Amino acid sequence: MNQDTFRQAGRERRFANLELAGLCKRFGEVAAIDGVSLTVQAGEFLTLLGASGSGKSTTLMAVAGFVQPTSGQVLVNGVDQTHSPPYRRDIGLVFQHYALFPHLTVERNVAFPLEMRRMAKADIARRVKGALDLVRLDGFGARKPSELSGGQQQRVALARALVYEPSILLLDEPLGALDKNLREEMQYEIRRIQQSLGITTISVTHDQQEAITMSDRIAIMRAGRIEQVGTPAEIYERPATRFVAEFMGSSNFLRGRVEPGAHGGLQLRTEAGPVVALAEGVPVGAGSAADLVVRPERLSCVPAAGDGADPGAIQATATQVVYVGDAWRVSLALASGEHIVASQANRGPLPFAAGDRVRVGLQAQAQWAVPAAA
Amino acid sequence: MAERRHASGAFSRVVAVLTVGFLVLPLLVVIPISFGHSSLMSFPPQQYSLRWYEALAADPSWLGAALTSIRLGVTVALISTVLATITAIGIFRYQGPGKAAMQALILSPLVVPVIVIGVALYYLFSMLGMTGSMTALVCAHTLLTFPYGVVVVNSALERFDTRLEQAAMSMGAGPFATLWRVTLPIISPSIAVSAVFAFLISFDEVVMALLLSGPETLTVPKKMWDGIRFDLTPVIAAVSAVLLVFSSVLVAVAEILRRRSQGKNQR
Repeated sequence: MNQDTFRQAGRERRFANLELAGLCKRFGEVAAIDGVSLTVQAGEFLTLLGASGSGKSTTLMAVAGFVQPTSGQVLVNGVDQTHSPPYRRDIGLVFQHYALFPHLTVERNVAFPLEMRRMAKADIARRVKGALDLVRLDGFGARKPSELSGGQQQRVALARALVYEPSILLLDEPLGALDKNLREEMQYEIRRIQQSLGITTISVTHDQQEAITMSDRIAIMRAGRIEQVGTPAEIYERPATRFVAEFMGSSNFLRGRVEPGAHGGLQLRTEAGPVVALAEGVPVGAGSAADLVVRPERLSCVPAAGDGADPGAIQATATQVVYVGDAWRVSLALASGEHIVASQANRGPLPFAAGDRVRVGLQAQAQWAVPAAA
Repeated sequence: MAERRHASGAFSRVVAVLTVGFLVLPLLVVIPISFGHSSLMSFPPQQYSLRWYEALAADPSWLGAALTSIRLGVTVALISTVLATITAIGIFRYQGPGKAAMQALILSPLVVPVIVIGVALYYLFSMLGMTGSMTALVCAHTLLTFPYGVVVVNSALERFDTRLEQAAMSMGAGPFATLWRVTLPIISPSIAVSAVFAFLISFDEVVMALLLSGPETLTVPKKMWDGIRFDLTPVIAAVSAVLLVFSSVLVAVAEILRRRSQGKNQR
């Protein structure tokens, strides 16, 4: 079987959808996961994103069968798998540190799950070759894992988790042990392989960039619960809470009060000055305090003109200007006492310096806001 | 500062040399004696010869004792290592109450004086009419070597990455296949080390042998003991020299295995 027939076999398979229903895991008094409900569609790449201790790894290990949930269910294609042992679950699992068998060659590592399935020798050899081709490691079969680089070991781990065509692929911080450049390369590589096979995948990471580039959907986890689930764009553009907005890249918040605006919409009267229209579907109601979510790359700073009469702009003082290569990172102190950060794309010399008064412009389109933090 | 470090380096070198000398000198005395010519053990020998080695080779009772010791040692090594490996894995995985108590119990033969265990076993096997039997010696020696085996295998398990077992299970390997195909192969050098040590401990064990061996089960250390008590000849020195070489080779084998096991666990 060559690489293409390997993929073909993958497409023909009925990949699984996965449902977590009210999953809880308590260790004594502490709830590691506290009511996680989630549906992953067949062929979907879903990332559990959260800080350490948010319960994302425990959730993954419950899907794998290494953690017995205190309550709740794990359903694969509607079949309850909550209490099946890991070796009966038909999952592929890739660990952060790869967990390759040090006493076996690359080939024997990849052959291991097939040998466990008592497959014929000739079939095993063919599939191992196909899997190693898929991760672009043909010719490395006779080496021991210790003779490979981190990225290569990562690929072997992936080949080993895919070679038996499991119905679900689980990735536990798959790129955590790689250095930055390799990490970015492998993000696209894993995504390519996942899409070409169409395998249902759940990944766990604390790296929001990785989550955004790899996933169909992201579930943000916090304190054992799911804070928000959505596509990367939804999570980034329309965060449900301030926590999500903070977790997904750097955010500025401008405090204000929500009031009815034009055409039945809502608007936010910010303490910093401007009154801005809010986008449809914002998770705030009229009369409540809210935080405007402003991404640094969407602010534009110009030197303050004499009178500063523009009502849509915010008066500020640049307190620090840092050159970061493709942009300037400008720290701003607002008249309202708030501090925000603007990222100004490097399109030539910046027309102001630290200490100068600047006018900060928001984009004209409707803005997003989240309920104000207590 | 550099001078002081130099001085302390010299000091530790002197201590090291003295310690090694203290350990090695008795051995270096025995070997020349074994090559002496005189019928009395004398050091240094006036005249060198191989007559005591010839006498040793000519006496079939020494060969018999050696075969008994080897048979005993191999049996003990096998039984003790299998038991120790199973026990170490069990203790390593067990997380319930009483784990510390169990560990203490397993290691207790290391703490209780051998002579106490020996006397207890002597009474036991006397009641059973088994003194002088191979079975009694195997049981007694296994009791002594088993805790060492548990310690050696357990330390290998402490270094073992248990995620490898999880990886195996995620790929469809049941508990037995995981143990047989992943855990045991990875800790196998330590299991081999524990077997070599069990053999060595049994091979030069004298207390149990004094109490429990009989005419049919005369081991080398017991025969040496009798030799020293009844007819002190330099044959004993020749035997000692042969044993010294034999044991050194085994220790070297164990050390090579130990290094290989550490190399394997590096990632």
